[in-house]
Amino acid sequence: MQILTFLLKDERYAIDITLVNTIENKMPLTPVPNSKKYVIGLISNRGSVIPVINTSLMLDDKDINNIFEKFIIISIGNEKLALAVNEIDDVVEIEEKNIENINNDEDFSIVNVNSNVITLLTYKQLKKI
Amino acid sequence: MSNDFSEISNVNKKNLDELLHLVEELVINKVRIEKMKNEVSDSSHGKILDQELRIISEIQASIKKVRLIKIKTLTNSLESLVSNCCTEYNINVDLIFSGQETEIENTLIIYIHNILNYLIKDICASEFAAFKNESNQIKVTTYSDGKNFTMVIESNGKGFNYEDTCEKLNKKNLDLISFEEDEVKKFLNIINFTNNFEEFLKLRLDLIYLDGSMEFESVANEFMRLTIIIPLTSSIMQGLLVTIGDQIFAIPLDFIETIINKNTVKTKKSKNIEMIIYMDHIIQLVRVSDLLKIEAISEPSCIIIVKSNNKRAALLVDSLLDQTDMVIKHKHSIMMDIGEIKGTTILGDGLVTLVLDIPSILKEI
Repeated sequence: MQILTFLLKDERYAIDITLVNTIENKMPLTPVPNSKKYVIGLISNRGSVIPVINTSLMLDDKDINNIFEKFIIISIGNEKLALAVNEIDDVVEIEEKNIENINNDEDFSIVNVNSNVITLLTYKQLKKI
Repeated sequence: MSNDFSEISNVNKKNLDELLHLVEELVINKVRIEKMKNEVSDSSHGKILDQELRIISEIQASIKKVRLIKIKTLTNSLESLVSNCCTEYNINVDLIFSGQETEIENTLIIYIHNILNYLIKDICASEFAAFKNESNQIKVTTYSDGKNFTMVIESNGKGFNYEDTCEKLNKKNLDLISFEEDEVKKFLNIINFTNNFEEFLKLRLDLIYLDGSMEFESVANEFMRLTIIIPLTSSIMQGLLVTIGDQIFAIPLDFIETIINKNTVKTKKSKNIEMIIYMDHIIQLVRVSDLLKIEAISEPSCIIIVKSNNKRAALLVDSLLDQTDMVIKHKHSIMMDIGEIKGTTILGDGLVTLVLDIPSILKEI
C-alpha cells in the first residue's frame, strides 16, 4: 500500500493515499463560530464546502500556533475534510504487515519506514472527527 | 429519422451526481466570469465570455430537469415498510399511493421519504395496532402545481376529535408550523404519536425553513389527514449579506421583516435583556456578535428585524453589505451541533459564507 507522508512541525505523519483527494496550497478560511476547537475554518474547493482541521491540535490536544502551508483534502465516507499540515513530504510504498498498533489500540498505528517511525492516521481515527 | 429505441436511458446515479456537482461548480464560477467580463477591455474576449455565460445558463436550466425524480421511486420502500409494520403489530394495512408520476427535486425526495416513514410507523402503532379493525388503509396522495408540492396522508383509523383537540390546545386550527415546540409535543401526546418525538420535531423545523406548511385534520372514528405543502423554489434563496466583526454572514431574505438604523430607535434594558419598541411591538434585541462569540471591531449600526413563526427578534449587526442569490449547502457533519448556522453558501469571490439559522436563533432567545 502507498502512504502519503507529511510534516507537522518536525514530526512526520502519514495517511493512506487512497483517502487523499487532492493537495491544495493554503487559502483564505472562513472561521466557524461556536465550532469544535480543531476546526479552523471552511474553504471552498471545486464546488464543495470543506472544513479545515488543525491536525496538530487534533492529534495531541495541544494548542500550537502552527502556521500551515498545505491542505490535504481527504474523503471520509461521503464527506470531505481538509487536514492542515506544514509540509508534504513524500509518497512511500509500505508493506501492510509493517503497520503496528500501539497498546493494541486500533486507532493508533505506527509504521516503520527506513527505520523512521511514522504515525499513520487511520480511517477509523479520521472518521471520529 | 430517430433511431432511439426508448425514450428513457438508464444512468448510474453516481455518474449523474458527479455531473450535477460539476454543473454546480460552473454556476459558482459564473459570478466570477461575470465580474471578469466587466473588467476586460478587449471586446473579442468579452464576446467569448458572454457566450460561455450563456452556455452555463443553458446547462443550468437543462440540468434542473434532470434533477427531478418521480415520487414512484419511493413505492417499493414504503410498501416494505408497511408490510414490516403489519408483521410487527399483526395487522392488515392497505397502502394506496396515488400521484406517483409527480416529479420532485432529487434532494427533497429523501426528506419526503423520512416524513412518510415516520408517519406510517406512527399511524400503524397508534391508529391501527391499538384498534384492530378489519380493514386499515393509508392513502398517500401527491401532486404538484409547479409552485408547490402537496402531499396528503390519510388514514381511516380511530382519528381524534378535531374540535376537542383544538380546544385543549387553545388553537383555532392544527397548523403545526404556527405551534410552539411544547405545543407540538402536547399535540403528539394527545393523538398518541409518541414513537419518535425528536424526529418529528426535526422534520417540522426543516419544513419551517423550507417555508412549507403542515396541517392535521380529523374526524373521530372516521379518518385522520395530514397535509404537507412544500414550495418548490426553495433551494436557491435570496440572502442579505451583513458584517459582524470581521466576518460576513448571510440572512435569508424571507425571514427579514424590515431593516432599521440603530440610531433611530431607543433601546430599553430590563433584567439585562435589551429591547426595542418598533411599530407597537416590543422586540428583544439580539447582539449577534455575542451569540457567535465574535469580537466586535466597530459599533453596530443596523438592526434587522427578523420574523418566523410569529416570533420576532431584532438582530444587531455591524453593517449591511449586499443582497445576493445563494444556493444553501448543507452543514458538514462536523458542524451539526452549531444551532445558529443553517448551512453555507459560496459567494462570487469563492469564499465560503455562513448562513444564519433564523428559526433556531428565535427559538433560543
